[in-house]
Amino acid sequence: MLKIAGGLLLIAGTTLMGMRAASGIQDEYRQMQYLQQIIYMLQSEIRYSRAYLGEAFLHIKEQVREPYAGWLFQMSRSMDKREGGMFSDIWETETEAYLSVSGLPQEERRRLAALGGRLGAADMDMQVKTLELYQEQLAVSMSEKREGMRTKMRLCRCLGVMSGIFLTVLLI
Amino acid sequence: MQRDRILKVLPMKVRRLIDEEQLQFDYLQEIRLRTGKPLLMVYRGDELMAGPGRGRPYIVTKEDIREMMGYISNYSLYAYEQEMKQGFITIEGGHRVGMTGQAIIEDGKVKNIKYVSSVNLRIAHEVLGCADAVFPYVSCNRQLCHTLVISPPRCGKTTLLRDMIRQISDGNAWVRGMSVGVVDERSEIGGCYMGVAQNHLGMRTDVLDCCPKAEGMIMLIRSMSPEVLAVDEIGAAEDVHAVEYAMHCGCKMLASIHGASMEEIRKKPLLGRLVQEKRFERYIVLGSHLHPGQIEGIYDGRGSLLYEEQPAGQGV
Repeated sequence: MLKIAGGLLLIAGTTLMGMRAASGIQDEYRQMQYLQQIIYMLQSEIRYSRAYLGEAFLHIKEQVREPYAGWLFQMSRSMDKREGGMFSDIWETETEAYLSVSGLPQEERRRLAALGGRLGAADMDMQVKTLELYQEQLAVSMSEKREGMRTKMRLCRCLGVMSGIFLTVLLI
Repeated sequence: MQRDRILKVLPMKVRRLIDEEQLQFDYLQEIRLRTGKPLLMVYRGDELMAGPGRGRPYIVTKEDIREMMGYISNYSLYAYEQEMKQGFITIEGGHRVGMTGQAIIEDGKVKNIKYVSSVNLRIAHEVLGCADAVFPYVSCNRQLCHTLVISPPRCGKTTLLRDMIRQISDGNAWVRGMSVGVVDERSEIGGCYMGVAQNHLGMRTDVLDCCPKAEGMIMLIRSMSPEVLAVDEIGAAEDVHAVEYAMHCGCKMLASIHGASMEEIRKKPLLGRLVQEKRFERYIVLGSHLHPGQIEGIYDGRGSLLYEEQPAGQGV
Protein backbone atom coordinates (compact mmCIF):
# COMPACT_ATOMS: atom_id res chain seq x y z
CA MET A 1 0.00 0.00 0.00
CA LEU A 2 2.80 2.32 1.03
CA LYS A 3 4.68 1.47 -2.15
CA ILE A 4 1.64 2.29 -4.30
CA ALA A 5 1.14 5.61 -2.50
CA GLY A 6 4.85 6.44 -2.89
CA GLY A 7 4.75 5.50 -6.56
CA LEU A 8 1.70 7.68 -7.14
CA LEU A 9 3.35 10.63 -5.37
CA LEU A 10 6.48 10.19 -7.47
CA ILE A 11 4.47 10.14 -10.70
CA ALA A 12 2.50 13.22 -9.59
CA GLY A 13 5.74 15.03 -8.74
CA THR A 14 7.45 14.34 -12.06
CA THR A 15 4.24 15.16 -13.94
CA LEU A 16 4.15 18.55 -12.20
CA MET A 17 7.81 19.11 -13.09
CA GLY A 18 7.04 18.31 -16.70
CA MET A 19 4.08 20.68 -16.70
CA ARG A 20 6.22 23.40 -15.16
CA ALA A 21 8.86 22.96 -17.85
CA ALA A 22 6.10 23.16 -20.49
CA SER A 23 4.70 26.35 -18.98
CA GLY A 24 8.29 27.77 -18.89
CA ILE A 25 8.47 27.32 -22.66
CA GLN A 26 5.13 29.06 -23.09
CA ASP A 27 6.23 31.86 -20.76
CA GLU A 28 9.37 32.51 -22.84
CA TYR A 29 7.12 33.10 -25.83
CA ARG A 30 4.83 35.41 -23.83
CA GLN A 31 7.83 37.40 -22.59
CA MET A 32 9.04 37.84 -26.15
CA GLN A 33 5.59 39.09 -27.10
CA TYR A 34 5.70 41.56 -24.19
CA LEU A 35 9.17 42.75 -25.19
CA GLN A 36 7.85 43.29 -28.70
CA GLN A 37 5.19 45.62 -27.28
CA ILE A 38 7.80 47.56 -25.30
CA ILE A 39 9.96 48.03 -28.39
CA TYR A 40 6.88 49.25 -30.30
CA MET A 41 6.27 51.81 -27.54
CA LEU A 42 9.90 52.93 -27.70
CA GLN A 43 9.68 53.25 -31.45
CA SER A 44 6.56 55.36 -31.14
CA GLU A 45 8.10 57.63 -28.47
CA ILE A 46 11.12 58.22 -30.68
CA ARG A 47 9.31 58.64 -33.96
CA TYR A 48 6.33 60.77 -32.91
CA SER A 49 7.34 62.73 -29.85
CA ARG A 50 11.09 62.74 -30.55
CA ALA A 51 11.61 61.94 -26.91
CA TYR A 52 15.17 61.31 -25.86
CA LEU A 53 15.85 57.82 -24.58
CA GLY A 54 15.72 58.59 -20.84
CA GLU A 55 12.43 60.42 -21.25
CA ALA A 56 10.97 57.63 -23.39
CA PHE A 57 12.01 55.01 -20.81
CA LEU A 58 10.25 56.97 -18.06
CA HIS A 59 7.04 57.23 -20.10
CA ILE A 60 7.02 53.55 -21.02
CA LYS A 61 7.87 52.51 -17.48
CA GLU A 62 4.46 53.73 -16.36
CA GLN A 63 2.71 51.34 -18.72
CA VAL A 64 4.64 48.11 -18.25
CA ARG A 65 4.99 45.51 -15.50
CA GLU A 66 8.01 44.35 -13.56
CA PRO A 67 10.84 43.58 -14.18
CA TYR A 68 10.61 45.74 -17.32
CA ALA A 69 9.44 48.81 -15.37
CA GLY A 70 12.46 48.54 -13.05
CA TRP A 71 14.78 47.96 -15.99
CA LEU A 72 13.56 51.09 -17.81
CA PHE A 73 13.56 53.21 -14.66
CA GLN A 74 17.08 52.18 -13.71
CA MET A 75 18.39 52.91 -17.19
CA SER A 76 16.84 56.37 -17.12
CA ARG A 77 18.38 57.00 -13.68
CA SER A 78 21.83 55.82 -14.72
CA MET A 79 21.69 58.01 -17.82
CA ASP A 80 20.67 61.01 -15.76
CA LYS A 81 23.60 60.55 -13.38
CA ARG A 82 26.09 61.05 -16.24
CA GLU A 83 28.90 59.38 -14.43
CA GLY A 84 30.98 58.26 -17.36
CA GLY A 85 30.53 55.36 -19.70
CA MET A 86 28.71 55.04 -22.96
CA PHE A 87 25.00 54.44 -23.34
CA SER A 88 25.68 50.94 -24.64
CA ASP A 89 27.40 50.05 -21.33
CA ILE A 90 24.44 51.32 -19.29
CA TRP A 91 21.96 49.43 -21.48
CA GLU A 92 23.96 46.21 -21.36
CA THR A 93 24.55 46.32 -17.59
CA GLU A 94 20.93 47.05 -16.71
CA THR A 95 19.59 44.51 -19.21
CA GLU A 96 21.68 41.80 -17.59
CA ALA A 97 20.83 42.96 -14.08
CA TYR A 98 17.07 43.26 -14.50
CA LEU A 99 16.01 40.95 -17.29
CA SER A 100 17.92 37.79 -16.35
CA VAL A 101 14.88 36.87 -14.22
CA SER A 102 12.30 38.03 -16.76
CA GLY A 103 11.84 34.66 -18.41
CA LEU A 104 13.20 35.86 -21.75
CA PRO A 105 15.30 33.23 -23.54
CA GLN A 106 19.05 33.78 -23.06
CA GLU A 107 19.62 34.23 -26.79
CA GLU A 108 17.00 36.99 -26.85
CA ARG A 109 18.55 38.72 -23.83
CA ARG A 110 21.92 38.63 -25.57
CA ARG A 111 20.45 40.21 -28.69
CA LEU A 112 18.60 42.81 -26.64
CA ALA A 113 21.80 43.71 -24.75
CA ALA A 114 23.55 44.28 -28.08
CA LEU A 115 20.78 46.64 -29.26
CA GLY A 116 22.05 49.37 -26.91
CA GLY A 117 25.14 49.87 -29.06
CA ARG A 118 22.94 50.97 -31.95
CA LEU A 119 20.68 53.36 -30.05
CA GLY A 120 21.22 57.10 -29.59
CA ALA A 121 22.57 57.73 -33.11
CA ALA A 122 22.36 61.16 -34.72
CA ASP A 123 19.97 60.16 -37.48
CA MET A 124 16.31 59.74 -36.63
CA ASP A 125 15.63 57.48 -39.65
CA MET A 126 18.47 55.20 -38.71
CA GLN A 127 17.21 55.09 -35.15
CA VAL A 128 13.74 54.03 -36.20
CA LYS A 129 15.09 51.52 -38.73
CA THR A 130 17.36 49.98 -36.09
CA LEU A 131 14.33 49.34 -33.92
CA GLU A 132 12.38 48.02 -36.91
CA LEU A 133 15.20 45.62 -37.70
CA TYR A 134 15.26 44.42 -34.11
CA GLN A 135 11.49 43.93 -34.27
CA GLU A 136 11.88 41.84 -37.42
CA GLN A 137 14.54 39.67 -35.79
CA LEU A 138 12.35 39.29 -32.73
CA ALA A 139 9.39 38.31 -34.90
CA VAL A 140 11.49 35.64 -36.65
CA SER A 141 12.63 34.24 -33.27
CA MET A 142 9.05 34.23 -32.05
CA SER A 143 7.83 32.42 -35.15
CA GLU A 144 10.59 29.79 -34.73
CA LYS A 145 9.68 29.44 -31.09
CA ARG A 146 5.98 29.08 -31.90
CA GLU A 147 6.65 26.34 -34.44
CA GLY A 148 8.51 24.08 -32.02
CA MET A 149 6.61 25.18 -28.95
CA ARG A 150 3.66 22.74 -29.09
CA THR A 151 5.88 19.71 -29.69
CA LYS A 152 8.25 20.75 -26.90
CA MET A 153 5.42 21.37 -24.45
CA ARG A 154 3.86 17.97 -25.22
CA LEU A 155 7.27 16.36 -24.89
CA CYS A 156 7.85 17.98 -21.50
CA ARG A 157 4.48 16.80 -20.20
CA CYS A 158 4.97 13.25 -21.54
CA LEU A 159 8.51 13.08 -20.17
CA GLY A 160 7.22 14.17 -16.77
CA VAL A 161 4.66 11.39 -16.60
CA MET A 162 6.91 8.75 -18.20
CA SER A 163 9.92 9.50 -16.01
CA GLY A 164 7.66 9.16 -12.95
CA ILE A 165 6.39 5.75 -14.12
CA PHE A 166 9.92 4.67 -15.01
CA LEU A 167 11.30 5.65 -11.58
CA THR A 168 8.36 3.97 -9.82
CA VAL A 169 8.92 0.69 -11.73
CA LEU A 170 12.65 0.91 -11.03
CA LEU A 171 12.16 1.49 -7.31
CA ILE A 172 9.41 -1.12 -6.81
CA MET B 1 21.85 74.08 -8.83
CA GLN B 2 23.39 76.12 -11.68
CA ARG B 3 26.77 74.63 -10.80
CA ASP B 4 25.43 71.08 -10.88
CA ARG B 5 23.67 71.61 -14.18
CA ILE B 6 26.86 72.85 -15.79
CA LEU B 7 29.15 70.22 -14.29
CA LYS B 8 26.73 67.44 -15.21
CA VAL B 9 27.26 67.91 -18.95
CA LEU B 10 31.06 68.02 -18.79
CA PRO B 11 33.26 64.95 -19.31
CA MET B 12 34.31 63.36 -16.01
CA LYS B 13 37.97 64.46 -16.25
CA VAL B 14 37.04 68.05 -17.08
CA ARG B 15 34.37 68.02 -14.39
CA ARG B 16 36.97 67.10 -11.76
CA LEU B 17 39.39 69.80 -12.95
CA ILE B 18 36.78 72.55 -12.93
CA ASP B 19 35.51 71.38 -9.57
CA GLU B 20 39.03 71.70 -8.17
CA GLU B 21 39.37 75.26 -9.49
CA GLN B 22 36.68 76.32 -6.99
CA LEU B 23 35.15 78.90 -9.29
CA GLN B 24 32.13 81.03 -8.60
CA PHE B 25 29.78 79.82 -11.31
CA ASP B 26 27.96 83.17 -11.38
CA TYR B 27 31.03 84.63 -13.05
CA LEU B 28 31.77 81.74 -15.37
CA GLN B 29 30.85 82.72 -18.92
CA GLU B 30 32.21 80.01 -21.22
CA ILE B 31 33.94 76.65 -21.21
CA ARG B 32 35.66 75.73 -24.47
CA LEU B 33 36.79 72.25 -25.40
CA ARG B 34 38.74 71.67 -28.61
CA THR B 35 40.17 68.28 -29.52
CA GLY B 36 43.95 68.25 -28.95
CA LYS B 37 43.91 71.78 -27.52
CA PRO B 38 43.99 73.11 -23.96
CA LEU B 39 40.79 73.42 -21.97
CA LEU B 40 39.83 77.10 -21.80
CA MET B 41 37.32 79.03 -19.76
CA VAL B 42 36.11 82.61 -19.77
CA TYR B 43 35.79 83.72 -16.18
CA ARG B 44 34.93 87.28 -15.12
CA GLY B 45 35.71 88.35 -18.69
CA ASP B 46 39.22 86.85 -18.66
CA GLU B 47 40.50 83.69 -20.29
CA LEU B 48 41.49 80.96 -17.88
CA MET B 49 43.41 77.79 -18.70
CA ALA B 50 42.43 74.88 -16.47
CA GLY B 51 44.96 72.11 -15.91
CA PRO B 52 46.12 69.41 -13.57
CA GLY B 53 48.57 71.80 -11.89
CA ARG B 54 52.08 73.30 -12.21
CA GLY B 55 51.00 75.46 -15.12
CA ARG B 56 50.29 72.46 -17.32
CA PRO B 57 47.07 72.86 -19.29
CA TYR B 58 44.64 69.97 -19.67
CA ILE B 59 44.57 68.78 -23.27
CA VAL B 60 41.08 67.85 -24.43
CA THR B 61 40.78 64.42 -26.07
CA LYS B 62 38.40 62.98 -28.66
CA GLU B 63 36.89 60.79 -25.94
CA ASP B 64 36.12 63.89 -23.84
CA ILE B 65 34.18 65.42 -26.72
CA ARG B 66 32.37 62.14 -27.39
CA GLU B 67 31.48 61.77 -23.73
CA MET B 68 30.22 65.35 -23.58
CA MET B 69 28.11 64.90 -26.71
CA GLY B 70 26.47 61.93 -25.01
CA TYR B 71 25.70 63.98 -21.91
CA ILE B 72 24.36 67.07 -23.65
CA SER B 73 22.12 65.03 -25.93
CA ASN B 74 20.96 62.70 -23.13
CA TYR B 75 22.57 59.92 -25.18
CA SER B 76 20.00 60.63 -27.90
CA LEU B 77 21.50 62.73 -30.67
CA TYR B 78 18.55 61.96 -32.96
CA ALA B 79 16.29 64.00 -30.63
CA TYR B 80 18.45 67.06 -31.27
CA GLU B 81 18.66 66.78 -35.06
CA GLN B 82 16.98 70.16 -35.59
CA GLU B 83 19.20 71.91 -33.05
CA MET B 84 22.34 70.28 -34.46
CA LYS B 85 21.51 71.79 -37.84
CA GLN B 86 21.85 75.21 -36.25
CA GLY B 87 25.14 74.22 -34.63
CA PHE B 88 24.10 74.25 -31.00
CA ILE B 89 21.97 72.54 -28.40
CA THR B 90 20.31 74.31 -25.48
CA ILE B 91 20.55 72.33 -22.28
CA GLU B 92 18.63 72.43 -19.00
CA GLY B 93 18.99 75.88 -17.47
CA GLY B 94 19.10 77.62 -20.85
CA HIS B 95 22.86 77.18 -21.34
CA ARG B 96 23.92 76.93 -24.96
CA VAL B 97 26.34 74.31 -26.21
CA GLY B 98 27.77 75.34 -29.58
CA MET B 99 29.71 72.83 -31.65
CA THR B 100 31.76 72.57 -34.80
CA GLY B 101 32.94 69.63 -36.84
CA GLN B 102 32.20 68.45 -40.34
CA ALA B 103 28.88 69.58 -41.74
CA ILE B 104 26.71 67.01 -43.51
CA ILE B 105 25.02 68.68 -46.46
CA GLU B 106 21.80 67.50 -48.10
CA ASP B 107 20.08 69.43 -50.90
CA GLY B 108 22.47 72.30 -50.30
CA LYS B 109 21.49 72.67 -46.65
CA VAL B 110 23.22 71.60 -43.45
CA LYS B 111 21.60 68.36 -42.30
CA ASN B 112 23.78 67.64 -39.31
CA ILE B 113 27.30 67.87 -37.92
CA LYS B 114 29.63 64.89 -37.64
CA TYR B 115 33.14 64.49 -36.22
CA VAL B 116 32.43 67.17 -33.62
CA SER B 117 35.83 68.56 -32.64
CA SER B 118 35.04 71.75 -30.73
CA VAL B 119 32.42 72.42 -28.11
CA ASN B 120 31.65 75.75 -26.50
CA LEU B 121 29.45 75.80 -23.42
CA ARG B 122 28.02 79.28 -23.00
CA ILE B 123 26.55 79.79 -19.59
CA ALA B 124 23.25 81.64 -19.41
CA HIS B 125 22.99 84.15 -16.60
CA GLU B 126 19.74 85.34 -15.26
CA VAL B 127 20.27 88.88 -13.96
CA LEU B 128 17.08 89.85 -12.17
CA GLY B 129 16.54 93.58 -12.32
CA CYS B 130 18.92 94.26 -15.21
CA ALA B 131 16.05 95.83 -17.18
CA ASP B 132 15.10 98.30 -14.43
CA ALA B 133 16.87 101.18 -16.18
CA VAL B 134 15.08 100.77 -19.52
CA PHE B 135 11.45 100.73 -18.38
CA PRO B 136 11.01 104.51 -17.94
CA TYR B 137 11.93 104.88 -21.62
CA VAL B 138 10.07 101.95 -23.20
CA SER B 139 6.68 102.46 -21.57
CA CYS B 140 3.88 104.92 -22.12
CA ASN B 141 0.65 105.15 -20.06
CA ARG B 142 1.68 101.92 -18.27
CA GLN B 143 1.80 100.15 -21.64
CA LEU B 144 4.86 98.79 -23.36
CA CYS B 145 5.97 100.41 -26.62
CA HIS B 146 6.93 98.20 -29.59
CA THR B 147 10.57 97.65 -28.66
CA LEU B 148 13.58 96.25 -30.51
CA VAL B 149 16.75 95.33 -28.64
CA ILE B 150 19.84 95.68 -30.84
CA SER B 151 23.01 94.05 -29.63
CA PRO B 152 26.21 92.35 -30.81
CA PRO B 153 26.76 88.77 -29.51
CA ARG B 154 27.75 88.41 -25.83
CA CYS B 155 26.41 91.81 -24.79
CA GLY B 156 23.47 90.57 -22.74
CA LYS B 157 20.67 90.79 -25.29
CA THR B 158 18.86 87.66 -24.15
CA THR B 159 19.46 88.46 -20.48
CA LEU B 160 17.86 91.89 -20.91
CA LEU B 161 14.98 90.47 -22.92
CA ARG B 162 14.34 87.81 -20.27
CA ASP B 163 14.21 90.35 -17.45
CA MET B 164 11.97 92.65 -19.49
CA ILE B 165 9.56 89.75 -20.08
CA ARG B 166 9.54 88.94 -16.36
CA GLN B 167 8.83 92.53 -15.34
CA ILE B 168 6.17 93.08 -18.01
CA SER B 169 4.46 89.84 -17.02
CA ASP B 170 4.48 90.56 -13.28
CA GLY B 171 4.01 94.30 -13.72
CA ASN B 172 6.11 97.05 -12.17
CA ALA B 173 5.99 100.80 -11.54
CA TRP B 174 6.10 101.53 -15.27
CA VAL B 175 3.91 98.87 -16.87
CA ARG B 176 0.88 97.01 -15.58
CA GLY B 177 1.08 93.21 -15.56
CA MET B 178 0.39 92.01 -19.10
CA SER B 179 0.07 88.56 -20.63
CA VAL B 180 3.23 87.79 -22.55
CA GLY B 181 3.67 85.18 -25.27
CA VAL B 182 7.25 84.04 -25.78
CA VAL B 183 8.42 82.13 -28.84
CA ASP B 184 11.60 80.52 -27.61
CA GLU B 185 13.02 78.83 -30.69
CA ARG B 186 16.31 77.89 -29.06
CA SER B 187 15.13 77.54 -25.45
CA GLU B 188 17.39 80.39 -24.45
CA ILE B 189 14.88 82.75 -22.93
CA GLY B 190 12.99 80.34 -20.71
CA GLY B 191 15.61 77.60 -20.61
CA CYS B 192 12.71 75.17 -20.81
CA TYR B 193 13.18 71.63 -19.65
CA MET B 194 10.43 69.27 -20.76
CA GLY B 195 8.27 72.26 -21.65
CA VAL B 196 8.60 74.06 -18.31
CA ALA B 197 10.57 77.33 -18.12
CA GLN B 198 13.53 77.08 -15.76
CA ASN B 199 14.14 80.83 -15.71
CA HIS B 200 11.87 83.43 -14.13
CA LEU B 201 9.56 84.73 -16.84
CA GLY B 202 6.72 86.05 -14.73
CA MET B 203 3.26 84.85 -13.84
CA ARG B 204 1.47 85.90 -17.03
CA THR B 205 3.90 84.34 -19.48
CA ASP B 206 3.20 81.52 -21.92
CA VAL B 207 6.22 79.95 -23.57
CA LEU B 208 6.18 78.14 -26.89
CA ASP B 209 9.42 76.21 -26.74
CA CYS B 210 11.58 75.00 -29.65
CA CYS B 211 9.18 76.41 -32.22
CA PRO B 212 10.26 78.36 -35.33
CA LYS B 213 9.72 82.05 -34.59
CA ALA B 214 7.48 83.04 -37.49
CA GLU B 215 5.15 80.06 -37.11
CA GLY B 216 5.23 80.32 -33.32
CA MET B 217 4.24 84.00 -33.27
CA ILE B 218 1.15 83.30 -35.35
CA MET B 219 0.30 80.23 -33.28
CA LEU B 220 0.56 82.23 -30.05
CA ILE B 221 -1.58 85.08 -31.35
CA ARG B 222 -4.31 82.63 -32.34
CA SER B 223 -4.12 80.37 -29.32
CA MET B 224 -3.16 82.53 -26.33
CA SER B 225 -4.02 86.10 -27.45
CA PRO B 226 -1.02 87.67 -25.71
CA GLU B 227 -0.85 91.42 -25.08
CA VAL B 228 2.91 91.36 -25.60
CA LEU B 229 4.76 89.03 -27.94
CA ALA B 230 8.47 88.45 -27.26
CA VAL B 231 11.01 86.82 -29.58
CA ASP B 232 14.78 86.60 -29.60
CA GLU B 233 17.09 87.09 -32.59
CA ILE B 234 14.73 87.93 -35.43
CA GLY B 235 16.33 88.35 -38.83
CA ALA B 236 14.86 86.03 -41.46
CA ALA B 237 12.27 87.41 -43.89
CA GLU B 238 9.47 85.27 -42.44
CA ASP B 239 10.30 86.55 -38.92
CA VAL B 240 9.94 90.16 -40.08
CA HIS B 241 6.62 89.39 -41.79
CA ALA B 242 5.37 87.68 -38.62
CA VAL B 243 6.43 90.71 -36.55
CA GLU B 244 4.41 92.97 -38.86
CA TYR B 245 1.43 90.61 -38.58
CA ALA B 246 1.65 90.63 -34.78
CA MET B 247 1.76 94.44 -34.73
CA HIS B 248 -1.35 94.56 -36.90
CA CYS B 249 -3.08 92.19 -34.49
CA GLY B 250 -2.71 94.65 -31.64
CA CYS B 251 0.12 92.86 -29.82
CA LYS B 252 2.95 94.90 -28.43
CA MET B 253 6.19 93.56 -29.88
CA LEU B 254 9.35 92.94 -27.89
CA ALA B 255 12.11 91.56 -30.07
CA SER B 256 15.88 91.40 -30.28
CA ILE B 257 18.27 91.35 -33.18
CA HIS B 258 22.02 91.07 -33.74
CA GLY B 259 23.55 94.40 -34.63
CA ALA B 260 25.90 97.06 -33.33
CA SER B 261 24.01 100.27 -34.01
CA MET B 262 20.84 101.88 -35.34
CA GLU B 263 22.63 102.56 -38.64
CA GLU B 264 23.37 98.88 -39.12
CA ILE B 265 19.71 97.97 -38.59
CA ARG B 266 18.55 100.69 -41.00
CA LYS B 267 20.70 99.09 -43.70
CA LYS B 268 19.12 95.65 -43.31
CA PRO B 269 16.79 95.12 -46.29
CA LEU B 270 13.56 94.00 -44.61
CA LEU B 271 14.02 95.27 -41.10
CA GLY B 272 15.28 98.59 -42.45
CA ARG B 273 11.85 99.11 -43.98
CA LEU B 274 10.18 98.57 -40.59
CA VAL B 275 12.55 101.17 -39.09
CA GLN B 276 11.75 103.65 -41.88
CA GLU B 277 8.05 103.07 -41.37
CA LYS B 278 8.58 103.73 -37.63
CA ARG B 279 6.88 100.47 -36.71
CA PHE B 280 9.06 100.09 -33.65
CA GLU B 281 8.55 102.84 -31.09
CA ARG B 282 11.73 102.20 -29.12
CA TYR B 283 15.19 100.81 -29.84
CA ILE B 284 17.57 99.68 -27.12
CA VAL B 285 21.18 99.42 -28.32
CA LEU B 286 23.49 97.35 -26.14
CA GLY B 287 27.28 97.24 -26.06
CA SER B 288 30.08 96.02 -23.85
CA HIS B 289 32.55 98.93 -23.72
CA LEU B 290 31.88 99.67 -20.05
CA HIS B 291 30.53 96.24 -19.09
CA PRO B 292 28.51 93.48 -20.78
CA GLY B 293 24.92 94.63 -21.07
CA GLN B 294 25.84 98.32 -21.21
CA ILE B 295 22.97 100.40 -22.60
CA GLU B 296 24.63 102.41 -25.34
CA GLY B 297 21.41 104.14 -26.13
CA ILE B 298 17.64 104.06 -26.10
CA TYR B 299 16.09 105.69 -29.16
CA ASP B 300 12.53 106.52 -30.09
CA GLY B 301 10.85 105.61 -33.38
CA ARG B 302 12.41 108.60 -35.16
CA GLY B 303 15.88 107.71 -33.94
CA SER B 304 16.21 110.43 -31.30
CA LEU B 305 18.35 109.47 -28.34
CA LEU B 306 16.35 109.20 -25.10
CA TYR B 307 18.91 107.66 -22.77
CA GLU B 308 22.59 106.79 -22.76
CA GLU B 309 24.49 104.95 -20.04
CA GLN B 310 27.48 106.91 -18.78
CA PRO B 311 30.58 105.54 -17.04
CA ALA B 312 30.07 105.39 -13.25
CA GLY B 313 30.52 108.79 -11.63
CA GLN B 314 29.62 110.81 -14.71
CA GLY B 315 25.84 110.57 -14.32
CA VAL B 316 23.22 110.02 -17.00
